[in-house]
Amino acid sequence: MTAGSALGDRLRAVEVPDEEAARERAAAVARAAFAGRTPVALQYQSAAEIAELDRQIKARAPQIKAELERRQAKEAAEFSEAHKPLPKISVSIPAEASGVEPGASEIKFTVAKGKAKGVTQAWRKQFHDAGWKEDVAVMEAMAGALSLSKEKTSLTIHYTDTGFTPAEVSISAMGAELEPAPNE
Amino acid sequence: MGGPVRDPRGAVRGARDGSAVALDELFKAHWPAAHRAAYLIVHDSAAAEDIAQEAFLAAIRALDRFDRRRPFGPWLHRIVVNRAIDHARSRTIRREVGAELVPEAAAGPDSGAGFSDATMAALAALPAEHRGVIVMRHLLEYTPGEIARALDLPRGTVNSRLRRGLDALAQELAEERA
Repeated sequence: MTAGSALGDRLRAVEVPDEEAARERAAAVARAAFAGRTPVALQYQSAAEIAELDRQIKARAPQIKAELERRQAKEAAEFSEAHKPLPKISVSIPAEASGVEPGASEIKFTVAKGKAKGVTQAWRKQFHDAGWKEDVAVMEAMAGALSLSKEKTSLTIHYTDTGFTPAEVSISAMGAELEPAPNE
Repeated sequence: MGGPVRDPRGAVRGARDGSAVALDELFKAHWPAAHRAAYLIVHDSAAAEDIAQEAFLAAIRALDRFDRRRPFGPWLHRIVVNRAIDHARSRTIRREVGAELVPEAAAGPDSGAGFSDATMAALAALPAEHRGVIVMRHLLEYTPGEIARALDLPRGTVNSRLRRGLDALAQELAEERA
């Protein structure tokens, strides 16, 4: 016996009687031994150490209180900002639109084939006149996307118009709520 | 030996805090090697089970009391091998002192299929101390330095026990084949 790995293989090949059942029994004993234990940590501190900690806490109390108040005010302002009503954006829905799905963040509908690009161009002019900035504009006959922004709000318009089926148009908003306007 | 544990430290912490899932994870990963190591040293399945089981409880508790950064496996193996050697030694002494009072079956290895294996027969001919270092080196794959630390022995002693143990094993296995 000279090769260590060969001996290792032999040792691993020895049949250990009852191995699986032994493991189950041992695990059950361990479960019982450790069941229901609640971990706690005990730390000894002398009276002098406690007095020193108490002194440090009292000395820092005004600073801690001010920090706490500052943080609470900041959180209140953030909460108020997050929950204030969103501005509303009026969106003109074409008279010929059908299957309109109005939503506060997205409006979808279909128009007759070949009409989607025209709808988008009409919106483009409307929003441009209202002071919106154009970020992205790709408008082909069969599909297009238009992205606009104004202050903290943005609008995204998509359309697909294959020329075979009714064209699909959608407009979605971030930081604002959409409001379908009466048909043109 | 044994599969990898996703988070060994988390499993030990969980086991100590009473998590059955964490305990099962530790047992799945470490039981096979620990139980086998004990069995190869004591040659008695009941004693091997007791040794491995007690070693598990002791290792989990020891990690709590001492150094939590130490890996669980080496702690467990150190306890298993030391206890197995102690057990085998005390059995030998009992046999020598009162041979007529100790039934042969209790003194010797299991008569099951394991002992019929030539390896087990060859190991049985070695002193327990030699079996311990051979199991640590060739089954658990520790270096001689690690074995020396685990068993609290000089490194030279580990090397000489390994050498003599391997020579004796080779001879036993050769005679078995002859």
